[in-house]
Amino acid sequence: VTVSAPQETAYYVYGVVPRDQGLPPLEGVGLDVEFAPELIASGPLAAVASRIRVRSAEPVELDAEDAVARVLAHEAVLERVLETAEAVVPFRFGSACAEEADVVALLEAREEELVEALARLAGRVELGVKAYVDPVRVADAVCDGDDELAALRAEIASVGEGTAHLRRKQLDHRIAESAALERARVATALHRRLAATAVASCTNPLPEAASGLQPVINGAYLVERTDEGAFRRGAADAAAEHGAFGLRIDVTGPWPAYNFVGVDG
Amino acid sequence: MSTPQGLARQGPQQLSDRHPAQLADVLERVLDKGIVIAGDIRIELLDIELLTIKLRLLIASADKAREMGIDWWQGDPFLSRNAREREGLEGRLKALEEKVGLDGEAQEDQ
Repeated sequence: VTVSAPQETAYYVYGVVPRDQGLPPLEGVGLDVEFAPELIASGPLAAVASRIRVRSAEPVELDAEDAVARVLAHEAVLERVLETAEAVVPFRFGSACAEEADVVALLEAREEELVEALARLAGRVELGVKAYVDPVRVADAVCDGDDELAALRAEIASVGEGTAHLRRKQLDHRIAESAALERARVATALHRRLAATAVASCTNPLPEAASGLQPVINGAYLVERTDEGAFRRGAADAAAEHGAFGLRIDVTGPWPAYNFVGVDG
Repeated sequence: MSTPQGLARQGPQQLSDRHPAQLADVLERVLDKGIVIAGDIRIELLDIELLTIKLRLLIASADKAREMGIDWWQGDPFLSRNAREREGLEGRLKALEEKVGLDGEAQEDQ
């Protein structure tokens, strides 16, 4: 690993497409607006790459806003490519080589893996799913469906604040346990249902709870482009079926298949 | 523009049609997934590494930040939040900033 390039420009790699793919117009898109992304071909493959100016003497302060802009630029290039390409293998942010020859060497060294990935991704896109439940409605549903809990709730409601403290803690604990079980059930049912319309699927760590919503699933699904509508309808139907829990499903994409390439892809 | 430095500033205009809530989804993917170039062929760009670390600091609060709407990244929250698990990243950030001559500049606003 070389640190701090001495040369004027390096090559930033966004992703890899089949060699005969061609590129949509990409002027003004990319990490360095001076240089439009181009194709660097080797064998059956081509890297979508752009030259990028490497820091010279003058320091510049890059803040979080610049950082986000840069990541969005990486994503923008791949999304443009995905619009016209049969398949694109996305690279992680920050992938760069010093010379064009190094990009070619990279394609040669990993040709088998990249060709296999392109074949697997052809005609397919990644859709992201984050689903949340309303914890209050889950707690209500849990008590409604359990006579013992319902009785405990009624008992607490009928006695004074102080005397009910211990019973209340007991109830809260029981509800939390049952609610966790219910969330796991919803997540499993949802994932199975969505995965049925996908050719591959995976789940990622849950995001933090936000604005009173408890996350139940953070999934990624590799879907035939022609099945995207069906997938989205399935998600909407699932949300309606679990209406008692206030289930909300956010479907994002189509994404380049970030979750379906690399070591565990 | 005659800026001599490697990465000129550019606004987040390229995905202007994207809903802000999706920014967290973009970061999750672009920073943590996708093919990684390994070995001697890879080059570490200081600018890019700095940006990546700043974003990793941001992402820890991304879900809270997304509630704040479209300008969530503008507050530079990594300067104001005090999560202990970030000390390692902040140490690396400081070392890198010193290396590229930014030492001190980041403190001026405090």
